[in-house]
Amino acid sequence: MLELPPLVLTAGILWGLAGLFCLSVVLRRWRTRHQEPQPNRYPAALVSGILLLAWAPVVSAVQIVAIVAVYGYYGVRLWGVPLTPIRATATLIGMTILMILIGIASHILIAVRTRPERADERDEVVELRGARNAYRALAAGLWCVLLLFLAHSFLGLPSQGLLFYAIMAAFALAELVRLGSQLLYYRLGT
Amino acid sequence: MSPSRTAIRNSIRTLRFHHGEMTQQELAERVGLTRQTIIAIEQGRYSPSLEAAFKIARVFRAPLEEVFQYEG
Repeated sequence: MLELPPLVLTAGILWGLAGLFCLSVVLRRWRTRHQEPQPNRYPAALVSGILLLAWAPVVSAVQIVAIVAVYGYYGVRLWGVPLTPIRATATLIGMTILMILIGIASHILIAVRTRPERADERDEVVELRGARNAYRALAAGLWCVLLLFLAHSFLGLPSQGLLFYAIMAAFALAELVRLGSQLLYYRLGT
Repeated sequence: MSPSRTAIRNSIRTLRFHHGEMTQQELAERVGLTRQTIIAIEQGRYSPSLEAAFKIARVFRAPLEEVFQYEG
């Protein structure tokens, strides 16, 4: 089997993903230009009791599922396992690649099932409010990490692995808050 | 949890009916918004920007107060 240096392999994967992303953008634009307006063909999706019919909320819902799946998978896999620098790096790279792959695949699948819509002023408002909520969640999460670090320092416990997981959890929480609040704003109003 | 309503009411649905039963999609295309946003405005779940409100009023050739009413 052909042995490739990790850097070359990573660069190849990233270039491939970038190519796929460009292809999906071109396809979306082509669809938007050449297709007659038609009713939304996406079957009504029930996510947390919320009926979703439009492009943006469906994307948010899929991203929530992806985050829960990827972070959950790595959480279960690494539970109780001592963290080494190599394992931490591999986890970060693996999670990033998985999230990108799921993001590209889901965008292509959703684009096939629904007519992509360009964002308008309401989408911008929803996005900004979601980002604001995510910032608050991230700030709260990072304060918790700091307190955890201080507590471990005072108790003299090793905290390297714990810090890594806590920071990842804070990021995941912030993303979930952003996407979840966006879904609620779409459903309940801004 | 019930949808939060804005303090701004509107007569878009009625005006659409009186303008040749204009569809939400048609109105959305004429003012540069998405159909979902038009639905949200009609249902009182979203207050449009001033620019969008003027554009909607212009489509119906009506003054702004006829299309939107503030009930604060």
